[in-house]
Amino acid sequence: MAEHVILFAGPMGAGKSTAIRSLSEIEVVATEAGNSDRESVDKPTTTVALDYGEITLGDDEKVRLYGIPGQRRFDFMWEILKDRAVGMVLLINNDSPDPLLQLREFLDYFADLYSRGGIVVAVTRSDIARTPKLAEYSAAIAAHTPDMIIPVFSVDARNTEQMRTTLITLILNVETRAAIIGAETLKND
Amino acid sequence: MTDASGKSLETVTGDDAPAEGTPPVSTPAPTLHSGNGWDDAALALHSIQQMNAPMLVMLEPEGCPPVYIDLPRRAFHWRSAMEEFPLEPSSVRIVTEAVAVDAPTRFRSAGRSLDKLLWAIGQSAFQGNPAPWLRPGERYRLTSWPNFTELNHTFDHMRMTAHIGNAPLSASELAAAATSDPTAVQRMINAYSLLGILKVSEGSPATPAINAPDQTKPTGGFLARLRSRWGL
Amino acid sequence: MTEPLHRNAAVILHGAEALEELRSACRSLIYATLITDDGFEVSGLIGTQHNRMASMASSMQALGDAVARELKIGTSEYIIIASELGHVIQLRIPGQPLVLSALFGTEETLGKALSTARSSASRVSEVLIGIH
Repeated sequence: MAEHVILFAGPMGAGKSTAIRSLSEIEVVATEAGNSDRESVDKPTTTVALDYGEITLGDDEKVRLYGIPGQRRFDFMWEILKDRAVGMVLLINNDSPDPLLQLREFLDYFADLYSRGGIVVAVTRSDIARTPKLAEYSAAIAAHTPDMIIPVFSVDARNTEQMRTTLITLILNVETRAAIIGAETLKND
Repeated sequence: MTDASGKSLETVTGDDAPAEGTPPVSTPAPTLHSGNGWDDAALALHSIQQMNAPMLVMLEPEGCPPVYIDLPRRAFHWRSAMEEFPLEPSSVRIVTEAVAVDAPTRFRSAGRSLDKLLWAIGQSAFQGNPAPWLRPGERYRLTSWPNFTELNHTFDHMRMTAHIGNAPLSASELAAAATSDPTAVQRMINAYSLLGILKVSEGSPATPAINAPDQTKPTGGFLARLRSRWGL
Repeated sequence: MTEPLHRNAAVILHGAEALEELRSACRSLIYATLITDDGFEVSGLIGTQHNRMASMASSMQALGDAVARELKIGTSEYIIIASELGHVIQLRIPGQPLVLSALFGTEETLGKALSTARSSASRVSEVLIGIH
């Protein structure tokens, strides 16, 4: 059984659960609890373990879509899932208090995935908060880690086509990067 | 706002026209006489962006409503949908106007992302030949990815982009590495150059990627099966 | 916006009292914590890394609920992790968005630990109905 684990990470309210619902072929397994922290993000529920969706590619092959809780206090769930992951869609809501800080914190935590080209940043709610612009995200990534170019897209997490473009880009970037590094290794041997 | 011939743009009306008149300042654009008006427009837009000066630009393709570009806000205003973008207008009238960097907007709406327009112009101009400001043999690497969720793109564009996102390549190297049509490669590079998302280098050693196109697939063709699942 | 339970002084106090009663009733109790469904500790007895355990207990409860929902067997009443050196018992406070999570030593039988934890949970529920 081949599995391809894709994580959906990002702060609370960024649209992780919605993004998975847009992509999954099965009814999404959700683990929502009432949100006690309405001061941070005013939404009634929050994911406390994971969201889980699937895309079936064949009898023995599935893409597993895991949404992980946004709050740092659940980082043990991040740890459980990250080593299995091919890549990660990092969703950031542009109207969060400091989206670029959120970006840097997640990139730091998921540095392994980052170095494999396994992260795509998907910015949500940029129609509600017009700044920061996507170019500022790219500049923040470049300042954080020169030489790494991470795709940054604006998305509506409810839009299946946009989420598919995001996922295809993620896999394409991982495959291309691995091919280039593989070729460099061959050349140096 | 007037063009080089002195014709007033106040005759242009519509929801996307500037909300108020502006002093007449104009810059005649160079002419390439290729038959595609976007060549001149692309060249003008490239020059203006190189100057990094805050400007408003009006582009009026033959037979189409004018397009207003608000460079400081990286936005454009056009009454038509992008599906109506003319691929080969015989001419494009170009009018520019310098504005203060913090000048209030002249437009009633926030407009659309300028990248959409630059992508369309860059794809259409120069008939797949290198843009005049690009030099043969130079290598390109992305400084940031284009926002594919808003651009009218193909899967081939994504593949090519992934290559220059991870290694500097010349147009011919990219065509070989991505096994893509050289004209499509050049159109994309022209567009990305206009979008300002390329870092140009010269004389760097050839990257191994060009000798090993798609040899290593750690995910075993996973992407191909996923695209097939989605009917893409 | 109502005050969250983990910041409500009366809830914290009654929770702490119930946990103390649980400790008196069960000598083998190693730790116990009362948490909100989304993983904030309301009250706790010493002996664990409270915040981290509160988050993990919340995740576990939600996964238990998800499994019960998937199998259409109602809502999960309690979760047990039986290990060589102790038993974790976790159960929902009836009618409240709260979970009791407790660790007992293996000298306690699972049955005794469970029944004691259940009566604590009921007691917390009864007290909180009056104030929340």
